[in-house]
Amino acid sequence: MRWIRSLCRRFRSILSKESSNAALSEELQFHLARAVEENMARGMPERKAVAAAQASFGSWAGTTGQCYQARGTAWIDDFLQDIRYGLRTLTKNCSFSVISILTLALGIGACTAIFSVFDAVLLRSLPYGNPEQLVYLYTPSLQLLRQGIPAEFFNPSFADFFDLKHQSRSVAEMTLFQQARFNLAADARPQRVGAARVGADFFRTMQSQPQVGRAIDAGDQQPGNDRVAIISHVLWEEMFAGTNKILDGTVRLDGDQYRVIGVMPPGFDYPHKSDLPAGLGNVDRTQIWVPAALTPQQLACRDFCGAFAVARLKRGVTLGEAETELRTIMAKLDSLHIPAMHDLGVRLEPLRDKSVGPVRPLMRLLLGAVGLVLLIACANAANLLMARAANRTHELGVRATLGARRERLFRQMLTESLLLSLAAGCAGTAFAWVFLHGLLRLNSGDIPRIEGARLDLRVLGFLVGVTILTSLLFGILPSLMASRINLAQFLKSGGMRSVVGHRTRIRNGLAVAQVALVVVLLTATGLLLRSYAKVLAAPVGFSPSTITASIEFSPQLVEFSANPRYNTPEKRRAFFAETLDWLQHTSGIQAAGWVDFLPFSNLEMMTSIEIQGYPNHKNPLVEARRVSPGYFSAMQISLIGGRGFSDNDGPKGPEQVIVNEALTKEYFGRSNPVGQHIRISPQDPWTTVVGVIRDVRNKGPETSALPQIYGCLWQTDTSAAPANSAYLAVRSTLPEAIAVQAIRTAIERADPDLAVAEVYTMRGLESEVTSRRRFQTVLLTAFSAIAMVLAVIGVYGLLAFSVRQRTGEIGIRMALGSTRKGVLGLVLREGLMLFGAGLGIGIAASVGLTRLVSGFLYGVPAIDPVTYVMVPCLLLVGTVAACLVPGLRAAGIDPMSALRCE
Amino acid sequence: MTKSADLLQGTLDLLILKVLSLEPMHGWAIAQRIHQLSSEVLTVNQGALYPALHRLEHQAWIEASCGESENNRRARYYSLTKPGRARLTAEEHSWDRLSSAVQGVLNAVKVG
Repeated sequence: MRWIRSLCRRFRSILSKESSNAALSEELQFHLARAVEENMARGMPERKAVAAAQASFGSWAGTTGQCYQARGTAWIDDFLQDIRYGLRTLTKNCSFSVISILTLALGIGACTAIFSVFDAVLLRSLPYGNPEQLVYLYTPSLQLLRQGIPAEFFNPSFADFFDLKHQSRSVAEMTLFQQARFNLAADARPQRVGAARVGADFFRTMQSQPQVGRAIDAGDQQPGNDRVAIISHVLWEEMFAGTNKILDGTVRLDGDQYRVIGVMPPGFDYPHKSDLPAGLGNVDRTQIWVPAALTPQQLACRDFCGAFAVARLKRGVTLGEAETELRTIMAKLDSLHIPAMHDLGVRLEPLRDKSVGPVRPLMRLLLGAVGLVLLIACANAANLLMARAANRTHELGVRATLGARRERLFRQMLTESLLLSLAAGCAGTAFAWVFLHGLLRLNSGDIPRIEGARLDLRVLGFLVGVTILTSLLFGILPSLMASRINLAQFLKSGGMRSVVGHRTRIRNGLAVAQVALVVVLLTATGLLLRSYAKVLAAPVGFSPSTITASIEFSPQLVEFSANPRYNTPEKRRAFFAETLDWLQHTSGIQAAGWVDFLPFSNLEMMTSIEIQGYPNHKNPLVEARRVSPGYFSAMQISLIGGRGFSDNDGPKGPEQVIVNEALTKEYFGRSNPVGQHIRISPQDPWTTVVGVIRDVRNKGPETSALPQIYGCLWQTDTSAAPANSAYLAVRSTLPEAIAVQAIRTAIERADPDLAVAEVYTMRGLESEVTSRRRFQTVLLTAFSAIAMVLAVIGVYGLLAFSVRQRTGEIGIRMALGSTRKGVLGLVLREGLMLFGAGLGIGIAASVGLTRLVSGFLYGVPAIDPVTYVMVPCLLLVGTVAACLVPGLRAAGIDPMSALRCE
Repeated sequence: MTKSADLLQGTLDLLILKVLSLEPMHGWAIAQRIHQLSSEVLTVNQGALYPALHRLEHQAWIEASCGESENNRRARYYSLTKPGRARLTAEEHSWDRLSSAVQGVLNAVKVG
């Protein structure tokens, strides 16, 4: 209680400071008057009495000050005064304050934004329990593995999966799921959503349970009971406004009613696009989970299937132990397989590595870049603060001479530094918010969980702490040193503003460090920009203006042959021919053709071939595609030898293939491949090569083309696993919207029930494929631009300060005959020396750090001469600009007034 | 600040509280009263008196009010508050203990 009253009293006495000061003065006056009276009563004459009373009274000011201190309000008062004074000095030095606040705020903002993303993508735990125990399970054919097909393309067959699951001792849980896409109709607003067909133990394996309702259980897997669905939190909020009534409500998926039985917690969107190595490229994240409901035939199937297997290892079991155990079980199952599927191994791969592994280097690169920006910002602010502290030596000296205690001066500097950091913190928070939103807008779409990035308050706090530390270290320490200056010496020096000490060396060092850091950043950015330009200019092999559309023969059914409308090659051919026929008679359509796997669509069929007369090549792997005759001209893939397909290459005639340049170079060398014979397996008849086309980069512009082989859709659609989807490529002179309409009409006329799944231009696909590179290049460019501006400001600040300090010296030089040009040269030389030193260190560091960026480069050597010439040139221009302003100011100094000033 | 100065300050606080326990009075009168009561041994300097008064006021042991002095001048009168009275008792008590302890030591040394 007492302290509350005491606090109230303190505040009252602050508020009524004037009156309490008056009261104190009156009280002391009264005391003095009584002393005089007393003295006079003893018989002193009045003048003597007053003098004696004053002598015994002592220092009036001292007593007042002590009473003031005793009142206990001094610190609040001083604090308020410090703030007022601090604000005044900061606003007086407006350019200094704005620059240092902005500098620090940029550093804080950029770092916080990037770290928030880093945290969301890499650090925050995945939305399922103990993700380190989860592994993908593949059963690769050892022979194909040796040929270079990655293990992740081999998912186990259903029957193998269940045998492994039941016999394994090292696996705690095991589940499988298939990716799917549905047309989700709710409120007459159909929407295409990613989905997964999951086994009964899917949610148990993931250790993630629905937030509302229940998980899918074994009962739901029975055919007939399987029309149930679990939806994602996002979908629940978007479509059903988060009401509990959703339970036992229904959603229409591809025309079928599904009963909603649960809602997953926020953040659970497994499998995310980036989670699966060979998943459906067009499923960004999963929003609906339905039972897999495998049929007895599927359960008994020992052929590869499109289902992914995920296992949770038992606690304490290592990946190697589990792999060994599962391999032994697999070996026992070997005799159950058909000959082509013998010799299957087991490969386990941690889920975490798969989903975040590929983006880890990018995140590290960004974090490193933004760390450099922060360092530059801090160095810049430190430089500015030290310049200011040096400028204030005079002020502090005067104040110390007038009796200010050191503790008091220190406290005032502290308040000023804190004010500065606080302002920087506020502005930095705003910057962080802006940067983070910009980042999310730039999102390349293939960085998992980036949408979940929130402003990280811990990092923000930490960075504000760093800036406070910087401002304390470089704002206060010099002031402290200054306040320790010998007063006698200070007075002897006549209070001249010329206390220049060894601190210039620290400041020069900071400027050099900034330049060096910027060189490193700019070099990395230059390399990335050059790579990006090379990627954009890379020959993809087709025209970006081609419009394409995809169809799925049986979206609901996993196995294509189950759709009776398209279960034979003839039926499919009829469909393809009918659509093409319609399009050929549409005016404005120049060419149209079907292909089973579009380039850049993340789907690929690899096959081994045999070449007649080249027995040395044992089963070389090639990319295989089947196309209709119009495809090459629709995509503008140019023919460089022989002929293309024509409608005469029908099912009855001898089979023809077309190969690409890469295949020719690899297997035929200089000899002409046209007329040579190739076959896919020893059982097949030989096919004749009729033409050679240019290489097409099917994976993306950065991966050079593999050997490719094209069959004619009219002839070779007989293989065991026909694709469920097909792509129509169209070249037209029509506006895009009309051409798309024509495509839809053509497909609708051929089969009204078959919906067009997706329409894109090849340009759009290409932009999607290169989005990650664009993302990293744009970010790094932005950071280096910020860094460069900061460094130029840093050099400018240093020189401007140096010119101000050397005004006297320059005056003397000019008085002694130095020309203005000479003075300008003096300043330029100082700036260029800093630049040169920084450049040297920066280039050496860049060369040393090439290893870190080399993974991000395309078509550019890590020590790229263009970049290593451009960066110094760019920086030189910046530095000269930074030197010119103070240099011209120095050249404009009037020697007379400069000398008089001293 | 040295230890003895601390002691002196504490002692001054005790003396002020004690003198004020008789009646409310102003600063000058407090100094005079201490001077008289100590048989003119202790002289309280105003440089110490007024900060002490302000400190005690802030600790809520005494309170100030305006009044008329003997010769009809406006003066600040200080009086003891309730917590101040309790404080005085406690201070007196500890002073007694301290002085008797010091006395004991002095006597012992004298005997020895």
